Amino acid sequence: MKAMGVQSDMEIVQMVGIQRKYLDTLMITLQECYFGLMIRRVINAMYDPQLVDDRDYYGNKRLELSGQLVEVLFEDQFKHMNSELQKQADLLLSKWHQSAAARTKDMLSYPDILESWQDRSRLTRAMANAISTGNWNIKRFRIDRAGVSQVLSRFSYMSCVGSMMRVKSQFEKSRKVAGPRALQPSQWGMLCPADTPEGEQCGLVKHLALLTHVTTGEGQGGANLRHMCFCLGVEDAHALSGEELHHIGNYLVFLNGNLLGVHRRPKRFMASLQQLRRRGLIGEFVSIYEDEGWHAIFVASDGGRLCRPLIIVADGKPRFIPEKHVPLMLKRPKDGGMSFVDFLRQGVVEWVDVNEENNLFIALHPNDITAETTHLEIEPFTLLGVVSGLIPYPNHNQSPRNTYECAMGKQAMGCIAMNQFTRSDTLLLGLVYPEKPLCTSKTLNLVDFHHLGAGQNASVAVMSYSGYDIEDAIIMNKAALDRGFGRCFVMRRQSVQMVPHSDGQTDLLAPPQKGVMKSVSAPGRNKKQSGLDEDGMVRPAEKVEDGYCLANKITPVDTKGIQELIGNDARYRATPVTYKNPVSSYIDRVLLTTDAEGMKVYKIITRQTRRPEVGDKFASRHGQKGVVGLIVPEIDLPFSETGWRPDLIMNPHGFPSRMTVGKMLECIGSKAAVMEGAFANGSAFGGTPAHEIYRTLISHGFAPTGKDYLTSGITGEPIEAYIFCGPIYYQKLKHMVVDKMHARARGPRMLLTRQPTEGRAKEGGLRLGEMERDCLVAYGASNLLLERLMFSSDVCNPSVCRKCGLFSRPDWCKLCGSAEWITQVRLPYACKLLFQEMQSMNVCCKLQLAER
Amino acid sequence: MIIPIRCYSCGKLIGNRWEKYLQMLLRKAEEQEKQDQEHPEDKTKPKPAPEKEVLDELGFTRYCCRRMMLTHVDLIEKVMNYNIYEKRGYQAAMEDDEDDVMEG
Repeated sequence: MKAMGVQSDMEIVQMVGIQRKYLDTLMITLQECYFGLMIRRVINAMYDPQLVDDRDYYGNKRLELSGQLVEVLFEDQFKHMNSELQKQADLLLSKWHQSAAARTKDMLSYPDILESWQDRSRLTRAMANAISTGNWNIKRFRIDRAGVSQVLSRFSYMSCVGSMMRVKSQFEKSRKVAGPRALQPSQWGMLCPADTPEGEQCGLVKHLALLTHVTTGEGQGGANLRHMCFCLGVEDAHALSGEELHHIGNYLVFLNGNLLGVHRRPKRFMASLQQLRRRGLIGEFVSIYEDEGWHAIFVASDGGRLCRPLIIVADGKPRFIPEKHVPLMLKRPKDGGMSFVDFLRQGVVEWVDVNEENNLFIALHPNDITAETTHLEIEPFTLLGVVSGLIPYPNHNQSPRNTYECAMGKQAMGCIAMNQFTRSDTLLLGLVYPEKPLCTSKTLNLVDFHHLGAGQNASVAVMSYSGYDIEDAIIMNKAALDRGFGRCFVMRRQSVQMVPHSDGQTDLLAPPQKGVMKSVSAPGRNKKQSGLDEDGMVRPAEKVEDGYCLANKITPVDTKGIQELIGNDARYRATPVTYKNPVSSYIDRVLLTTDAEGMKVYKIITRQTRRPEVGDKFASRHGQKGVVGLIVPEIDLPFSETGWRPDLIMNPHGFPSRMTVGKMLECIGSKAAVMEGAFANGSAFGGTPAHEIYRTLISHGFAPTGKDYLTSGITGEPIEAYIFCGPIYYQKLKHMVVDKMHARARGPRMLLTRQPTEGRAKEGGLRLGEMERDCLVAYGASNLLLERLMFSSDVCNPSVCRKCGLFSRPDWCKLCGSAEWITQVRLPYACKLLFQEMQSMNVCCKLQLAER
Repeated sequence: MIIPIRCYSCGKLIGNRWEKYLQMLLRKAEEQEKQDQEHPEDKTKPKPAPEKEVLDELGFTRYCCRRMMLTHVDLIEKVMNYNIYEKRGYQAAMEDDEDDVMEG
């Protein structure tokens, strides 16, 4: 209203109440009525701050699905296309009408607008561009979002599934406001409480829980539902006055936020709508809830609401009867079997959204059902999401540890898909011998994780060994590594495009140079091309090292202007594609194909097999990550009476502060299960209870505490304490030392600032940042600071004229006109650059030099 | 992917017993089915998992060797279906035709 120039509320009252044109409409429209309701609410909230709406309550939130986003994009582009076409048509037609043909009514020369429409792919290109870059820029709605669409991450199966369940919040800018980042009680059952990234995006990126559904709001909704509400006794708001609307006992009825009217028997209305929904006569995603504070009933059928299924409880008994219904679920549909949809139609299960949950009494277990219970949870573990299903016994862990595991589970290497050796991903990491976890959970079975696997069940002993296991480092058994434990493969793709140039020429592949033994220059060049076949492309199964040529590509030289300068008639120049990586690889396969624009493309897939070494990162499934600290030959490791040796030794100091009791339960559970030839059940809130595990262990001759007697491999004497050992599922994470190790003494420098380059790929230096500089200042180590920041970095010796204070030539100052005052100074190049850049902006930085 | 040759922790040979393990599991499953048909009243009684008996019979006493067999994911059988170098169907037929033409 302020934008319209209204300065106080009195003006609004005057405008609405007194001005002619508003008085004409004595019948208050619904819009004005709603406006009045809004004002009423604001006034009420002034008196009672508790009535202010909570912005983070999930009932007040809507999720934007891909359909809505694409719809908005399409609408914008379609309108653009139409307006362009219209402009073009106008242009053509106006020209024609002015031409001679119009006067003679010569219809033959009437312009064909469709033919003249050249740029027909504008719509496709805009949509393809938006989806590929993730930038949604729509001028009409003033939407300017980045990161809307992301490339599906294929690090592992869990990262793939997790990335499809992701929910991103729009509150990117507000870093410090706690509200959107906090865990909300209304998230129960809808969004996973444990799965959120650490750091900047904490709490803004969430994942859906197992049974969540996001409504789409298409179909019936609208007109039918309105009609139904009126039939059920809602009195139309058009016919009511303000007093009648807010009379005691009258409940307002809203449909999708619009005021419908008033109903005098709210409970009855709600019950009948609910019955209609349970019978399938109105959509199953319609939600009806009551807000007693506002004396209002809200009926919602719009899209973007989060909802989940619950079992209906009637007369104190759940409608789902295991004895009756479970055998029906196991039958096939033609034999009378029932599926979820059948349960929904028969009123056993219904979809409930966040707002409606408020009015219900939901029991967790069938034993908790009381007289007031209205619904029963299907399963408590569905509170968590898919990635949290990786964690065994998560309800026994400290919750941040579950959150860490949710982040790390997506970095674990494993099998991505059955066709992983046919895919050409830019980077594909996989485990050579993946195993399925011994301690599994219901979620993992639902997701088919046991067909893929992302780790190995390591024989773990929890003890201190050698002192190389400090700060979460782990010790590994050399023999286990020899036998294939933790081995992974890394496949990378390099594409070579044969780009077509002007006048029809394209890039070509030249055959490799033959043995140039006579040539003195670069005898090594031949070695670098040794892997190439006769057609100039590298052969599969060749070993390539750093600098080897992969494709001997030649590009046609642009002869238009340079021919005279070059002088020779070289028509092509060499642009070979080389393999750049300090570690050698083998060529897995070469793929020849054409891309969407008809360009010939070669894809070269290289493969490295890596054995775990000191520095590779491993983690169990409880947020207990660690780096390999030492690899010990198996004779030095402790062994049990049966001949068992650990593959991996974990430091017990990792347990007290982290409190991951789930890991200990996983260990004894797996130990008991493997002796029984079965898999342990580590589901949240329903895993095998500890006393059962104890019984199983005892029956196989193990101690119930999971501790065994081990003999030291070094001294041969018994170890003086019983050691906790058993199988624990360990994941190999994608951070391997060979990709990270980097050193530089002297090396390349950046062009602009003459400082050392950044990044391992450019052989860069490590940055001594501001905080590190503060530490050196605290020591008073001024010479060290000078050495680090100037002498080892970008020192230069420019000449400065003492009189004018500006940089000059080493022998002459142009401004002063003499060489008398020229001195050499030592400055960081970045400083000289700053001064010169400021000079270019007409700000002079003059140096005042003093005698030493 | 494929069954490792030796147990990681103790070094016992397991690669030679994988196929036998699968065969014995299949046999045990068939026996169980027969038993279920003959004695339907025993169907709901809790039985030990067939893997346990098979592992015991094959001589895997230590749990390190047991987990190698029990938790192995035999991906190679599925991955083999995507082998791009294998000649199937009409390609193999084409080769046969070529050979015939050459000989004839």
